[in-house]
Amino acid sequence: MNEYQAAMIDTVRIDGDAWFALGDKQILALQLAVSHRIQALEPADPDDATAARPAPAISLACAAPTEADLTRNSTLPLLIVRYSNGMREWLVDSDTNMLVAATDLDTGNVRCIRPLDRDKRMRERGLSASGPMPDAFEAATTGLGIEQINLLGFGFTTETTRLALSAIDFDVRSNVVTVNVAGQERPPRAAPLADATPFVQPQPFDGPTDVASAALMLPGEDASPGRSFALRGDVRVPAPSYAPKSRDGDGKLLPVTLLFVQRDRRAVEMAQILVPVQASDGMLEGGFTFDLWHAHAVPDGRTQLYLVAGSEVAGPYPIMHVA
Amino acid sequence: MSDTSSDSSGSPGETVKPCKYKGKKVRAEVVTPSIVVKDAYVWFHDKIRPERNQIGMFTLKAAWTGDDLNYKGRGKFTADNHRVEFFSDSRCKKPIDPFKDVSYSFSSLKTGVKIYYKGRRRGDTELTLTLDPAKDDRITVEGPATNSVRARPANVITPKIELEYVVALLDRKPHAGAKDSNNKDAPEIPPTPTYMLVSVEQTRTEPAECQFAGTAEFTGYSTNLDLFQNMKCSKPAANLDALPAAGLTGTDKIKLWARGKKVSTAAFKLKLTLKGTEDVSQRFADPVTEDFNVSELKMTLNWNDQGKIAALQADPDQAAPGDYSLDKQLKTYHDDLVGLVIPDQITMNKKQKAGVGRFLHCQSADKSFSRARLVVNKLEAAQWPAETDDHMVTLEDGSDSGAIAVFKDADGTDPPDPMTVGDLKKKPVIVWVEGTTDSDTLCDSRLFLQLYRPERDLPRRRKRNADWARFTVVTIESVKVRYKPDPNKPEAWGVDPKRFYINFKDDPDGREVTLRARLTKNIPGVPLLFMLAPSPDNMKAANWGVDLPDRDIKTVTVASAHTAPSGTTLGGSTVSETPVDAKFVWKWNEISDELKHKDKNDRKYLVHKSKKTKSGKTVAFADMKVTLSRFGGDVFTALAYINEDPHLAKYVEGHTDAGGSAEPAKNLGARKPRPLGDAPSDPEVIEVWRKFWYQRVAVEGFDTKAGFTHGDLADAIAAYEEVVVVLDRTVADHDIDAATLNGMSPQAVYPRYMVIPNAATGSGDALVLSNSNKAQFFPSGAAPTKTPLRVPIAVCDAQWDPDGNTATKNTPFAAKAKFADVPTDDSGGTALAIGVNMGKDTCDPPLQGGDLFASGNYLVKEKIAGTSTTLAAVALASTDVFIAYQQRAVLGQVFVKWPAAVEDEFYLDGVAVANGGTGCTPASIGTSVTVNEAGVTAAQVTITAQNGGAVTAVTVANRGRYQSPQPALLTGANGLQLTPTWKPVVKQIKFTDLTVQGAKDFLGECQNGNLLAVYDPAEAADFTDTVIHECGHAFGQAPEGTPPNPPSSTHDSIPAHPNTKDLGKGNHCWFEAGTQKTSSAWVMTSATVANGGAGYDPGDVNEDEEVIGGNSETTAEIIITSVSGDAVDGVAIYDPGEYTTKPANPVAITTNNVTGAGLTIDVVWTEKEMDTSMPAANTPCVMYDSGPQPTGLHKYCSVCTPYLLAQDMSKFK
Repeated sequence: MNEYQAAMIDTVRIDGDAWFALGDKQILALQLAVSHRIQALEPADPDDATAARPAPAISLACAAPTEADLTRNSTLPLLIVRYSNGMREWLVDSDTNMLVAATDLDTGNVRCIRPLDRDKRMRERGLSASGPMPDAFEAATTGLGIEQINLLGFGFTTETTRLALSAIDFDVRSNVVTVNVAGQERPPRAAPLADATPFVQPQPFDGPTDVASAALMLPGEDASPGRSFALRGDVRVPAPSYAPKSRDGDGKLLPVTLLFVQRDRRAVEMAQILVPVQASDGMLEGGFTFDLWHAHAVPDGRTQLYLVAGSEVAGPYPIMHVA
Repeated sequence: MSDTSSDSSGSPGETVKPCKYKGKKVRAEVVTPSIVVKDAYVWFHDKIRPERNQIGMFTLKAAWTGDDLNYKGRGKFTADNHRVEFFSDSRCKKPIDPFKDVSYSFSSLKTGVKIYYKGRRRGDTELTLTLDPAKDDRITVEGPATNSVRARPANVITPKIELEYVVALLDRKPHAGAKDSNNKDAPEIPPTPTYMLVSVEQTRTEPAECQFAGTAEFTGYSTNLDLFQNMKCSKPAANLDALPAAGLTGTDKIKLWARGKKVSTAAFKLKLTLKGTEDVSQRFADPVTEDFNVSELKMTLNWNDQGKIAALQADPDQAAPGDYSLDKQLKTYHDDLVGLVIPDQITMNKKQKAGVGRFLHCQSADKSFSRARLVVNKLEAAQWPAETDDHMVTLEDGSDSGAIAVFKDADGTDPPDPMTVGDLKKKPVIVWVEGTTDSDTLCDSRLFLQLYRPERDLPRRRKRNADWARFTVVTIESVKVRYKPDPNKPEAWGVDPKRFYINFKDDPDGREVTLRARLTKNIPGVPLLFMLAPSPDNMKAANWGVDLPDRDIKTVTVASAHTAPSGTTLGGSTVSETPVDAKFVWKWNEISDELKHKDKNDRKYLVHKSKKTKSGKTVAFADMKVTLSRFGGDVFTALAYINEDPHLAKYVEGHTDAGGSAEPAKNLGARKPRPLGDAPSDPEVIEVWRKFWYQRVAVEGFDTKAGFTHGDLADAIAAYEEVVVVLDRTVADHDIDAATLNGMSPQAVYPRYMVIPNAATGSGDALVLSNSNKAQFFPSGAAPTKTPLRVPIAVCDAQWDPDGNTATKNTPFAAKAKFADVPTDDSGGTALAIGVNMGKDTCDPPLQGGDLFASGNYLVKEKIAGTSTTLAAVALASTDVFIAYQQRAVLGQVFVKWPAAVEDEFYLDGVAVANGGTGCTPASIGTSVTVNEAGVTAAQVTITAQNGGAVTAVTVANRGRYQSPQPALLTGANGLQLTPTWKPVVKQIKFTDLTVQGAKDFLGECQNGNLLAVYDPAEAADFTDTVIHECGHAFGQAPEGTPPNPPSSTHDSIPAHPNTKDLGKGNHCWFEAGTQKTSSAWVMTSATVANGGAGYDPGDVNEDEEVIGGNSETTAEIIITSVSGDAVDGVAIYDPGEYTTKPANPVAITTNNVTGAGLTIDVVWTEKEMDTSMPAANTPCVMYDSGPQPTGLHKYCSVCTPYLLAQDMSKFK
């Protein structure tokens, strides 16, 4: 987490029920406050900023109430705080590329939404990094926007659960926030029996043992067919309530989701793998290797790979897949 | 025997023979013989009980007249033949032989000698009594006397039984016990009885006295037979113990009709015995007996074993191991059907055979219908005497109506082989019965067994109905969809040929079709089965437009997924053969039955849903509800068959034997149930269609597509036609008049230039629909019942929705030179302003109401003589932010004015003394002098030299600040005049916290069943794309596909759409879309110092240098922004360049116009799209999530199509 992101998170502090009464005015006030914090972190303006374009800049954060009682409220708010300059906006159109990855911590299942979409037919925005590069003024102009998302409008469950949410803008991701959702009583269910994903090879856990974590190691960046592209992952997360059990025995399985994010590709390829893990102090931890080709979801071209496991998100890990 | 006596003295019969002396006076004696016959004849029979021969008697006499002269002669008795025998005693113990000397004395004769006689042979016998001549001639001896007697043979009476057949058929009473059956009121039909003639034969009938007057007793039958007086067997035979002579002796004899009531295991004897007193003239023959049998002819009729048939199963939804393709599944199913053996027909019991009857469908020209198996049972030889072996046994049609025919085989055309009793004693015979003409009523057709013997003495009749069975021959005349239109609802059937619209009721109710099968006759109770036979093209491109995605569907998003050859080792694992797209494959066996057509109680069953016919006004009918599939484009033939044609349950339309055989058992399409339609030869089909309507929202005063016509939607109509949906138009528009439009709040009419990019001022108004006002455009309340699935379409020029505030923008400092004169309004006014892209659409007034401006400040940075100062932030006024509609590059661009308060200013850079003035003393050296010319702030100079009271040199102490026109001469006290050198104050403006109210524009939507569509003449195709797209959403397209791939929203059992992802706000299809590019280049998007080099000095700042290396169209350049020591420590991008091959980091830099060398930089290169248009190969589906897509399909893609076909369109989502 960089200082920008920290400033964003620190600034966006909303108490209790105020989360459920956020209007444009409140959002604007927050936006200005965060903007001021960010501006304070910005280096001094160059004498002539219009002479040269700055490097792309972006920082992303999200915020959500820690408790969301849907029996009393009709929204499940999520704020996405995005700071970027014009160079970045040219490079990656956030309206097209912004994602929210949401993990149901009870089940470990992940879904992605395009939070800036509406229930309407959108006008084609054109490809990122197309057309003339912005001039230096535009490239250096920064924006701090806070988008308020009602997750209930995106088909999220109204059942009692816990969600871990993070925003992803192609090659940048935000912090992860968790929301305890109190809603309709979730039907009791048993942990499903499942098999570990074929070709997932369990490995000794090789991550920190005192915190939740997720990490991937890639053999490189360039991937091409016919060549092994073995991922090495280590995950340690709180055990989902309904973590699948291994059909073969008492072993636990942890759903780990790989997100393949490509710039301007509206679809997000996802591959869930079930990784054999061990229980340890209320956590599930395990290492694994997995050849990327078995994910069956590796799109062509430049891709940012994220790993989502429980409340942990790792990435991006750039991959260049040349078919 | 006669009791008439005769006295003869001559010939028999004469009482006195005249004496020849009669009349003379001489007294003499006349002796006269006579034979007085008391019994002129006697009855005799020489063989039959001769002891009962009658004894006749006559008396030999002689008498005298005159004087008694004492005649001493004797009388001799003679006879002329031996026809009778004579006896002297009444007991006939003492025979007399008249051919020997038999004489009697006169004295005996005078008293009379009685002679007895019996018949011996038929005929008369002359009796003669001859007196001896008298020795005294006075004695006249007359005579001889003659007479005669007759021997009459007795009447021999012989009983007689004559038989038509030596057997009578057992009355099997087939109808017995069938009183609760289909034909409970039908009469029993007994077999034709065998007649027998009962009589007596008499050897003579004259004289009457000898005729048989007794009776006869008929016995021996009672155990086995019922006897009747008539052939109809309505009059039981009577008086069989005393059959009257009249009948027995009559010409017609007594005719008895015998019907078997109990089968005889061996011949029994019929006996006729004469009864009564046998007269002497009669002789009763012994009783007569005849061997007779009661024999059974039996046939066994079979019908289908409905219980077993109901249990037959063939799973149409089974995946073959390793191959889940539809073709394979269908083949497996069809093979199973071929191999499925219809159980042998089973025996109908007696009640069933006669009472319930066997249904047969009247045979068709193509021989589609089956025959009933019938067995003529093997005969019990003991019941059938050998003489019956040549009797023919035939099966005859005894139908009251209808007709049936019998064949040798189940399928052939040969009649059965002739059958004789002899044959049937050896083995049973199996024949097959076919309906050839419809029965008029239930069980009205009948087949019976008949016995017929070759011609012999007695006339013979065919013995019908030895056994019989009832049939009902029916013809399913027609199968039709029974649909009764409701005038208040849309018609699902009958409007368009063949099409059945399944979405006018909730699914699956809307798919229910009532089929009505009608018979040709009014016959209730016929079990009919109803079938929906899928077209062989279902699930194929021919009917669906695409094939069922049962394998290797084409997807863009996963097309690149790795498909390494089987066995390839990757990452230590072996690649399986599972296709990578398998999870998206529609495995037919896994698709829920809920979506498939339903004409059986379980799809695995062989037989279909059944219902019995009931009586109609003219013909019987049965209605059955079946359910069409939910797959638009499916085509079904509705068929019906009777339950006795279970083989037709196997019917598969279009199926042919792979081996080319026409054999029905292998060719499931060879024999066909009665299809839908008026004539079997012209079957009708039911096509699964869906339909909905649009209603035009007509807005007065707008010449946009609000006035669109049906033809304008031709592409949309065609696109839906391709996915088997009719998009039709409601009759009435929903009109919005001008008054209503103008009264809307918030407003719906904006100048076009405000919302249409590049629209000119004065180009008129635009209709702008948004969340704020759209409800006012749509009809309220429920859709008309006639068009329940109605989509009002409001067409607008722009669809904008309020979208909160924009991001807060902070610009870099920009000099005034970056600002330009920008028109502020239509009046020609301009302002010096700079554009800022706010990232959201903007218009003024904003859709939310209020001001466009939400917040903003500006900071001024001044640079005077190399020293920069940033001033305190100043709030912008709302008027400082405006939209220059004609100038903006994007809809999100606003313009911010150069603050009026920030004026051009100059500072005193240097002065030269023009006039030193007076009064300056050495003490004045070092003093400051304020120049008098007014400025924002006054300049001051410090006197640094004087000469003679005149200032000769000054330095600038305070540069002052002057606005234009700045003074050309500065004056100070004592006449001091200075020539100033001015330099402008470098002022730059930075806007901070700049925020405006934003909006977002869309191309359309469909919410709550109301559709908005933007019409842009330049993107006309997108209008129909939007209509298609939004209607698609209205029906739940595109379906969900959230990893880990839960079922799609189309149905739980259908795999997720491979090209859609649930990204929260309406799934979309990324078919053939993506980021394919025709060309791209690498551009520099970040540059940082890798090695600062050496020898640089501050003068090198702002020098631009080129990147070295790589292949470029345009070379990238950087600017040196700072130097520390002699090394560069800051660079910025000046030109990002365009590289086809990017140079590797660290990148070398040129050294033009700089003092140092060795600078290298690390560059972040980013791929830049060189062609912003969608490449030609990029043909996204109409469900792609944005538009316009000029190169798009303008219709549903091949991946979406099956989802559309399977979608429940009975309601909007």
